[in-house]
Amino acid sequence: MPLRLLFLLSIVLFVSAVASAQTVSLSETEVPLEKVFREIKAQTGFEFVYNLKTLEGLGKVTVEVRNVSLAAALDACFRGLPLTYTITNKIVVIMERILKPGSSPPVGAAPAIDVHGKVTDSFGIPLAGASVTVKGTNRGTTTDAKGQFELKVVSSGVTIEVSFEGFTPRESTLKVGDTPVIRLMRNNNPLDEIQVIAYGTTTKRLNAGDVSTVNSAEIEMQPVSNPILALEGRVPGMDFVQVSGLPGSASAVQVRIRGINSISHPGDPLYIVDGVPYVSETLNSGDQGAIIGNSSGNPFNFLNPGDIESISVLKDADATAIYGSRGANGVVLITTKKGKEGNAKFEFNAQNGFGNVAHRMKLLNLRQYLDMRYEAFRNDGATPDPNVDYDLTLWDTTRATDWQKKLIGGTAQFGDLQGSLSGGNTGTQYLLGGGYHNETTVFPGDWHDGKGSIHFNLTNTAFKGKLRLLVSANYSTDDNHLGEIDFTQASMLLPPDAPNLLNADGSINWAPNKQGYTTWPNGLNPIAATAMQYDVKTNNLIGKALISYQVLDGLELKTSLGYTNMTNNGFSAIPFAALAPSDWPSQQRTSRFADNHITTWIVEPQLSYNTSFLGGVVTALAGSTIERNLSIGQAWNAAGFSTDLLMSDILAATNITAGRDSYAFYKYNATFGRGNYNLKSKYVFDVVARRDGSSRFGPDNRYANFYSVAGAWIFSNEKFLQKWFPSMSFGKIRFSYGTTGNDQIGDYTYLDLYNNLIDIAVPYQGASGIRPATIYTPSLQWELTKKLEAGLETGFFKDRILFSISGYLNRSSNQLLLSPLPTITGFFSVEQNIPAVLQNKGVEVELSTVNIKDKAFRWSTSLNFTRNINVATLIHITKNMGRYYQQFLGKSIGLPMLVYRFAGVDPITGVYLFKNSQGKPVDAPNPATDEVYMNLSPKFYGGMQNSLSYQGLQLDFIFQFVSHVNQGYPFFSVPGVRRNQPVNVLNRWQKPGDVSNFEKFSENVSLLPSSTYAQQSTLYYGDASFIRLKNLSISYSLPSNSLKRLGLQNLRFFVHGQNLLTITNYNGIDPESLGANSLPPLRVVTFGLLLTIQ
Amino acid sequence: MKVKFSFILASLFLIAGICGCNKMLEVPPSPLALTSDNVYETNAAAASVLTGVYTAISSGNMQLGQSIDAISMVSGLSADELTLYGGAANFNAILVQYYENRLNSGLSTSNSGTIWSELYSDIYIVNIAMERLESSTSVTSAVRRQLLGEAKFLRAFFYFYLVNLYGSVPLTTSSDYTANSSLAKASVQQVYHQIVADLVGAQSELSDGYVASDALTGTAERVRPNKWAATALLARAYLYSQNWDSSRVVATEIINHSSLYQLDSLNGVFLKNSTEAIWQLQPVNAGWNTQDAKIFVLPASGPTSNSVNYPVYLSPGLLSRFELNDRRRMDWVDSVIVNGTVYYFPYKYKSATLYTPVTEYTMVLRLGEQYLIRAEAEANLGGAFLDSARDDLNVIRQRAGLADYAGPIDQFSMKASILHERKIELFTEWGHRWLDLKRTASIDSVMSNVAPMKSSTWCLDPL
Repeated sequence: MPLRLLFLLSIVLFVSAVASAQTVSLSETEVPLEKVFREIKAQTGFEFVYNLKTLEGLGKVTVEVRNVSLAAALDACFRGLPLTYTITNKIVVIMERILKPGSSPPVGAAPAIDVHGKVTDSFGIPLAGASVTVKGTNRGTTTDAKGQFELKVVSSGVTIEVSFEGFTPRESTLKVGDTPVIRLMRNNNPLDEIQVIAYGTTTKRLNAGDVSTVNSAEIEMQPVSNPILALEGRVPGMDFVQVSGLPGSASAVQVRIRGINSISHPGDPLYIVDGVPYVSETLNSGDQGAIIGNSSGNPFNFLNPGDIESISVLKDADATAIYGSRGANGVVLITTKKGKEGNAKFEFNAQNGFGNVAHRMKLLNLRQYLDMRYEAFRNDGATPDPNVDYDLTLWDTTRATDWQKKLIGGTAQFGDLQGSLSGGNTGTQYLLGGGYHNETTVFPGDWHDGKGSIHFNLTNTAFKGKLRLLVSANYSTDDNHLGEIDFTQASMLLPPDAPNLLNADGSINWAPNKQGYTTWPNGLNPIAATAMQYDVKTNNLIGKALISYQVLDGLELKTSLGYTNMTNNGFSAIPFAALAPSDWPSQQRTSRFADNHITTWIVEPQLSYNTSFLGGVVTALAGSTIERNLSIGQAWNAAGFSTDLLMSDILAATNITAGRDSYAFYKYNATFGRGNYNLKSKYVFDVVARRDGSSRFGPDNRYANFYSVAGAWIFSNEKFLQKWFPSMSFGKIRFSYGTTGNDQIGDYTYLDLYNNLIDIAVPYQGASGIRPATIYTPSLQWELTKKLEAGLETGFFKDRILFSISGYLNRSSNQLLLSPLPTITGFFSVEQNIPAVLQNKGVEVELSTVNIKDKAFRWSTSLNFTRNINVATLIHITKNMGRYYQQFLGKSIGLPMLVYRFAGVDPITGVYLFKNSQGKPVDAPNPATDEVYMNLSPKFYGGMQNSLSYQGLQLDFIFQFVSHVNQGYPFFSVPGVRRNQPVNVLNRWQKPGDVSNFEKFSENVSLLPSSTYAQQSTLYYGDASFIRLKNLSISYSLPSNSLKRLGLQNLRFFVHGQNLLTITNYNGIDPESLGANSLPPLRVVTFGLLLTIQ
Repeated sequence: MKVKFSFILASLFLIAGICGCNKMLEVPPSPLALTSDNVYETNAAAASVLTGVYTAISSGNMQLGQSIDAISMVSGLSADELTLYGGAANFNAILVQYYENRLNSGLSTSNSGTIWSELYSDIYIVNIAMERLESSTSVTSAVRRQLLGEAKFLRAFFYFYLVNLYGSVPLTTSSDYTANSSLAKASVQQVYHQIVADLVGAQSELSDGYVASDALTGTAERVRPNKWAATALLARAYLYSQNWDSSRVVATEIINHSSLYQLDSLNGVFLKNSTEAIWQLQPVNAGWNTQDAKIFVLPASGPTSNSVNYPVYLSPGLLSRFELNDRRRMDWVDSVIVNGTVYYFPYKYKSATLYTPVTEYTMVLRLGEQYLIRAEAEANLGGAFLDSARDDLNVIRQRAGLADYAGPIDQFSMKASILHERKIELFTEWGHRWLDLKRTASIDSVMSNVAPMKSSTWCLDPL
């Protein structure tokens, strides 16, 4: 405790010994000039020299500027005062300005005028703090909070220069009687865009770490209901797998940043929304009984993409070490929109559209299917059994149905409304936004998911800007009626002659046989799912408050408080209406009820300090985190309802049993510090340290330390470069090294928990029994990831071409793994830290170019590319570990997959052959020796983005590309049984001597083993690489004169398209979702408009 | 200014104070699950650990042949008691392995879901329970003694089956998995030494009468082991380790305790809480009486080879060994006729209809066996004890409606007769026959004849 205190104190003392900022922020009301000078000195280190007499009688000044240059700040101070200044060698000399009121201007010069003007951005939003200078002089001023400025006594005809950070400077010539409104265009230099980083912001130009940012403009272009999906193809190093295209399309989006750092606990990145950690796992704590449904579980479904201002992806040690134990898998910072100073602005965004399945699998048609079946019977020497083979004996074999068209060929509706009101003044800004989103499915039946959300925030500044207060809340409510059935699998497997789904009267067609039993495969007509009941309601609240107080010049004390609460209530029921009548006597009506909560709160007190030191600027931060996370879930199964109508009333059940329940409490504490030193924007150094504690580990191993060091050299700011390579406008070399950890091992893992014995109908002696489920392992420790990164970032031709390349090497040690135990210990395995090192190395390249840029037309392109290699090395194998670990050694473990080597079809017998370990063909390979490793991790991936604008017209599109290998679904199960098949199977073996890749058709299970081996062999895997037009957006904004007539600030019409086009050789239904069982990501097109009134 | 400075200092203290102490990260265990640290803090929770062990044994899925309560069936298959319907073609490959006496080492060592792993899994529980109970200060002393006794009894019971089914096995007596994972096999003698020590300890700790689930209150239910259960198993352990005199003495203690234990009628033996029961298991599965009845009692459709339901019936070999007029042949055996074939099945447990009231409990230790233990011990002691051996044997024969033993009273004949009587009296109960064959060195001669009937070959020293 005293040590820790000393450590913290020393940080602060060290920090106060140094001091500076390149920019100045002032918030002074009615204070003497001297005080303002002291303030500026404190912020910049610049000395002030003046004659006391000069300031006599000038009274007090009021000045309010934020993050402006020194000159702009001084101009603001001296506005209206007879003072001028010069700056040399960090010394500001204040002099009297000789004003000769009434004296005539020099002969031939224009008349002197007073100018009142205004500076705004392209949308007319006032820019406060913009610098306005008279060209060729050092006279000037800055704009006030309303964007207005006043220049006294200037000659008419002079030119003023207007500049503001992040915008292209502009010149304007003044005339008599002018009240100029000068619009500045955002300079669109990505290097100067604000980047949100851990506990602060920076710009790409000055960042020593590796951070990729996607902003709201790019997110809004994409008709996705899960904001994380908007990042696809845009962030180098970020690998996505969208497993399903169900509405909400979020049932399972797997995100990996720079590969996998843990063999058995790969885990998601850490997601943080406005500083509050966001639960990324589905609301299902270890048991599917606790959650109901396809797509109700992914928490990102409950964040409104329209509320998001930017998403930053933090990758290297410098960016992530401050998150300590949770940063190993990367960190994703989501920042929501905030109100801005200015007149009240109302923004409204509406879009409507549709989605469908873009690509269908090529399956056998009716004739081919029947021929396959008959051939199978001939091969097996069998005849169709009238009690089983209904497809040949009972159903109408002349009637064909395209089941893909019927079951997944529908059109999903997509509707989205967003509205917001924002504005404020210097002291207070607010934003109130709301959204509504509704989606349906491509399936038959009435399935839909509706979401409403409210987003609110308020920022207030008081006590001369020293106290800042921010309160924000996001609340969303989701009403999910998406059902639990994905029709995709049925659409693939149903025989083409399967009966009509519905009878002529609209009732479910059970197609009974003579005995009255349904003839549908597995007794299930897929459309019966539409008779099931399903309702899952989720509410999500994210609340945050931030209070900061500037205690001393440069020293700020800040505390942020966060709270999230997600609740989920699910109900589903299988009424008799969804069951074949012949099953009624042996079945019961069953309902499921589930109730889940996750609550998180977090408190983060922080101290930050800025000062100048040895000519540079030091920014230091110290803080601590206290976090608590509680998740509770329960589920009940109810059966024995007397009628379908009462199934949502649990009291109407005769038999209620508890489903699984779950409870997890997680505590997390940390202390952290960061020091940043910026010397003349040429040299940047970063040091980060964090001490972390997590309740997920045993008492002896709860705390661990993490750190990072990083540096950047912005060599383009060196004179020699500017002299020798004038075309190079930006150049930075950066490196970082540091450690992060992974504590995603689940709660209570180290404890020897005793579980209640479940499903005991008659308790032993009337008492419940308990049983230890795990072994006490207090020695469990963090997995440790060491991250090393070096990067080169360059810009050419005034940053019209930006090129960057970064290479990284991550090594994760102390791997937590479920290690096999001899049975005599009473357990089969135990979670242990094992001496294995997992290595990720890779290269990420980004290139962005502004190809054409003139007043009317602008075209820019950006490209990103990632190559990642994931290898397990240096595994120390002990006697007991053996084979289990060897499979990982030296292998790429991203997605370890052991497969048999396919060796063709035996030309004589017509069955599959596989190579055994000696390379000899065998029909039944040995799982212990004959499997080989196959790498399913992407070989490379990336995206190419183009943005074109011509006057009000804008076109954006992004291609995503991934090169990888995966299951190709050339056939299903055993071709010849009562299931449809991909057309590949037509190339099967038919007679002795045939050389084929597909074995003979068979209608019984005798070929099931052979076929199962084949599905685990190289035959079943193929190239699943693809290039996809992920997003296309066309918009048209009305020109300003029309807008003026309409009284609008902005009116834009747009068309957005998602997953429009896919180029691939992949055989399955979709190369991204990689399956034939689940709905692929949909092709979605929406039309909409955006309207702004101010 | 001073105020501000102290404010900063105060906030620094705040930050520094927040972190560092482990207490901040102390998480109460999930209310849905207890840990060893609090389970052994209360009587009820500690008792529920042992209740959990009984529940687990009783809830095993016997027909799969992988749980402890399946010992009766799989040992019967290994020996000459049961015939597997369909033989090698039976759906259940595990039963086939037992039946054909070709259990491979994979099945017997480390696979999950085997009798072996179930036994060791339960041994871990009784080991940790013993360790924690020893040091527990808050479990009251009477409950603590009873539970310690139950744990010791169970450990002895589990090791008895481990050593008899598998020979020399690793002997784990602590919950330390790191030490246990590198443990070598102990000799059979060492294992018996531990079994005896545990049972002697259990005898002194267990209550004299039967207790309820709170390990304290008296009850008529004989489903938690008491002092006599430990005594009964001790008599058996002495017998198996050929400590004849101790076996005789210990068995006598129970036989003389007639206020609690008396032989029941043949149809009353396997009823719940019968006077013969020393330790029974209460069925816990929904709607069923004993698992034995559920599996052994064949429906009119006969045995099945393509599902797990009714895989076995009585072997003709066993059936032919019943003496004429043996009432056990009538009361403990029944049959069905399917397509002209008669299938006899064990009918000790009779209640095999779903949702009938529970009338039968699974018998683990009973008085009848004690008579046979004492008879065998006496026969081996020889001399003056041979007469007592004959008397004990006759007690069992008389209940079965048979005439008294009329053969020669010599050691060899007596031993053979007692072995025969055990075969008939104890068939399909907890592997008695299989274990008898192994311990009496008659296994090779018997099995060489039996194996061909199973279409397999008997290979010496199969395990």
